[in-house]
Amino acid sequence: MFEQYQKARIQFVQTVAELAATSKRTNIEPLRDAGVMALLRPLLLDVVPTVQHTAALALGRLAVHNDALAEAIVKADILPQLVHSLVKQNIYYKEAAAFVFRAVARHSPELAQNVVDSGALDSLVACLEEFNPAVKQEAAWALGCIARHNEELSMAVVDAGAVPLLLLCLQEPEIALKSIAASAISDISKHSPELAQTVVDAGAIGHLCPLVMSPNVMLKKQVFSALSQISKHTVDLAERVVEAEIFPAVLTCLKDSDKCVQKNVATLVREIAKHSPELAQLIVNAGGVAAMVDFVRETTGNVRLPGIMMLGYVAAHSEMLAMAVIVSRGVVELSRALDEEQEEHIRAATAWSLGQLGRHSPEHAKAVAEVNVLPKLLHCYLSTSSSEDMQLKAKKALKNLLQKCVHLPALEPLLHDAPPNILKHVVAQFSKVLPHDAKARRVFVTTGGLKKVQEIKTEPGSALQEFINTINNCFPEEIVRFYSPGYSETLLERVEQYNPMTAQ
Amino acid sequence: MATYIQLLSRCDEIIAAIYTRSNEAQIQREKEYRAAVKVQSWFRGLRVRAYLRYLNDSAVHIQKIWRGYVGRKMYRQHLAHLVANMKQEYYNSMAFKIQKIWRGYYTRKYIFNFYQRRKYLDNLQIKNEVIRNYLEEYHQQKQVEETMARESELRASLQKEAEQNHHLVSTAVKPGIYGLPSQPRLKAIEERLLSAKRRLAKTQMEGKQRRAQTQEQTPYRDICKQRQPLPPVGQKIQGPFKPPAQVYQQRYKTLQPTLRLATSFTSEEETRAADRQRDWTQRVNDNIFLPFSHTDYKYEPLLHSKSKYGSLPYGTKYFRELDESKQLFQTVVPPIPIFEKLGKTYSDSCAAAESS
Repeated sequence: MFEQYQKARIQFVQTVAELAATSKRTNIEPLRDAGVMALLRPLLLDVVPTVQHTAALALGRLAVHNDALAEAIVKADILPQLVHSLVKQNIYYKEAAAFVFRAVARHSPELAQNVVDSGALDSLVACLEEFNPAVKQEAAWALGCIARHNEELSMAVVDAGAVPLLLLCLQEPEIALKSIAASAISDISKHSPELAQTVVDAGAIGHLCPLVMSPNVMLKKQVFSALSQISKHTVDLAERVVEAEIFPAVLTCLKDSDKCVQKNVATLVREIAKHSPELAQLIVNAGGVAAMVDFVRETTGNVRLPGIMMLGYVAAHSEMLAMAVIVSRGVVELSRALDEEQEEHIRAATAWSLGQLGRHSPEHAKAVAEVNVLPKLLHCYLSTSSSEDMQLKAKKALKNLLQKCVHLPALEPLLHDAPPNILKHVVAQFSKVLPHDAKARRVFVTTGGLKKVQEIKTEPGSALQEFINTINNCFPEEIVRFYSPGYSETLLERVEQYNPMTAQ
Repeated sequence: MATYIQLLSRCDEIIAAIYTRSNEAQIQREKEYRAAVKVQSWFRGLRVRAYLRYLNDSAVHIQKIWRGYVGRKMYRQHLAHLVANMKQEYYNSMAFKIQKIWRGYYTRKYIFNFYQRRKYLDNLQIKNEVIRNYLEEYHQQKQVEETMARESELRASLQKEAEQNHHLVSTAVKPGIYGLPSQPRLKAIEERLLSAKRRLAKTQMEGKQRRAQTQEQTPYRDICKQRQPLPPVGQKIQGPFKPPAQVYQQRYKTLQPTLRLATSFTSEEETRAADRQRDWTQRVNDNIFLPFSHTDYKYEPLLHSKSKYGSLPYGTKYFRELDESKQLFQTVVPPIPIFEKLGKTYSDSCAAAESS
């Protein structure tokens, strides 16, 4: 009779676990309505270990995708129970319990806080010391899910002493364990510099860097994500990551077939390049800019956003680096990206990068303006459909370029379309160049620029009027009068009033 | 007596002769007198003229000597000035040369070197090409590896299928479907790897050759080669010589430019212009702030700056006591030379202080 009961219990939990398996999400709601929680809870304390860990597994599977069930688990005080019994049980139970913790903690910070409050951290860290890789995997994953949400939870995880054990997990031969440990480290170190420093002081970089060249896609993704989260906080951390000699090997991963890996590598390079000119110089000298320009050319969408931002950060540091980016054909790719991209934030980032490239000197501005970028930026600035952020960035980029650009053929289209506040600066640039360059004056007349300048209405005494006067003084009076508006009417009036000599 | 009687007989003649003679004498007296006067006056004039001439000559002689003396003095002074100017100009030109060389060296090393920059950008392009080729080949290699992996997977699945369908195995006469992987394909991969390696090495060699060429064209390198190298620093030599470590330190000490050197002459204007430009680009709203209401407040002057006769200029023209005999603030704290030399001189006391 007891065997029957036992068999029935085992069958029940196994069925529930199968039904709640991740591939069949539709089963969860009916199960919950049938009150499966209340039934599973006493089975956790069952005598038979199989029932216990299968029940825990079932609970975990139920809660993994459904946050209401996760909350129900928390409310039903199952977590302290799990913590309490975790210490004494076998590896399957530990694995299942860790899975439950992960399932609950992944949904929101409050649930994760509940998990922490129930004392799960110490038991999870104890699980990390086990020999079985599956247990370690689940424990590491659970810790990662807890630490992902915010800084306090990460600090709690670190205070529980998880970091050295996670680094030990990184050295294990199993690839899945390594990648999960890497993702946990990435989640811990992403919140604040102190956490990243703690992780680095425990020796994370030395263990992460050899994994950079592994063939496994998942592992590479997590390792790059971890390295980029570590290096994003301060210059020192970025320098320590770079000292581990990952360049130029990392650049080969930019050509990986998996988009996530590419994106994470680009993020890593961006986080390193943005801190200081020396780091950016290092990346440029290692050929990183060429690799990144190719990366921007070959990818589309959100994947190339970190690449675009990296080019902008590198160019922002100094004019030598900006020239290095221009020489590596970065401007062409950025202008093409500005054309092709549909999403606003990517276009805003492209506009920002172009502004950083062109703001250093007239040569830089000429190189940027030659690819016909100014009308595009003007269009972005003026179009009503662009977001405020996009308009702001386009406006700043335009200002940066207009301050320095003296390449007149590129400024011509702006004369015709620009609003008055931008027109003032365009005309100012013309007034700087035209007094000194005769050929430019000729081109200015033939392309209709002089005509347009005459048509601009200004207030007398304003700066725009002075610029227009400067331009008018460069040309002979007849030409200026010829192009001034209303000259054709005056000519026709003179024709009317003119009595031909032959009539008399 | 006879003569006397003769004379008496000729008395009238004598008297007439005396008379005529005295008449003549009288007539001639004036003439002679005038003649005598003329001669005397001529002679006196001669004497005086001689005397005047003598005086004149003496005066001229004195003046000549004096003027010669003064002129020679002036000449010597002028010459001294000329020589001093020449020397000064020579020193100036040497100083120009030193300053020119120093400024060129300092600007090229610490501020901006056009040729180095151009060389850097050219080398960067070469390096970019190298990296691009390397990445491209790596990518292709990866593709090949992926295709091979896929092929091997396919092969494994086909093998499994064949095992399951073993009863369909072919005889020894007919060749089997799952033969050995064909040799030419493996050879091609190795060839590609090899040629990629060779290609990478070749572009690096080309870059080195190009760099070496540009170095040989500059004459400064030749000068450096001709220059005698300093004697080698080895063991401590017997005698009053400094220890080798200190000599190394002194010989290879890096330049420590003062703040005055390191700031450019126009740094103030440049920073002001740069600040203005940066502010303009980062400003979100370009419109000048115009107050929206025009209220006219009557001007009420301050009581403490008003006197019986109007406003005092205190508060507008000056803010402090008008005692200008006291020296006001000095805008620059002068540097203390001995502190600037700390750690930079070669004297033993400093070295001893450093090494301790």
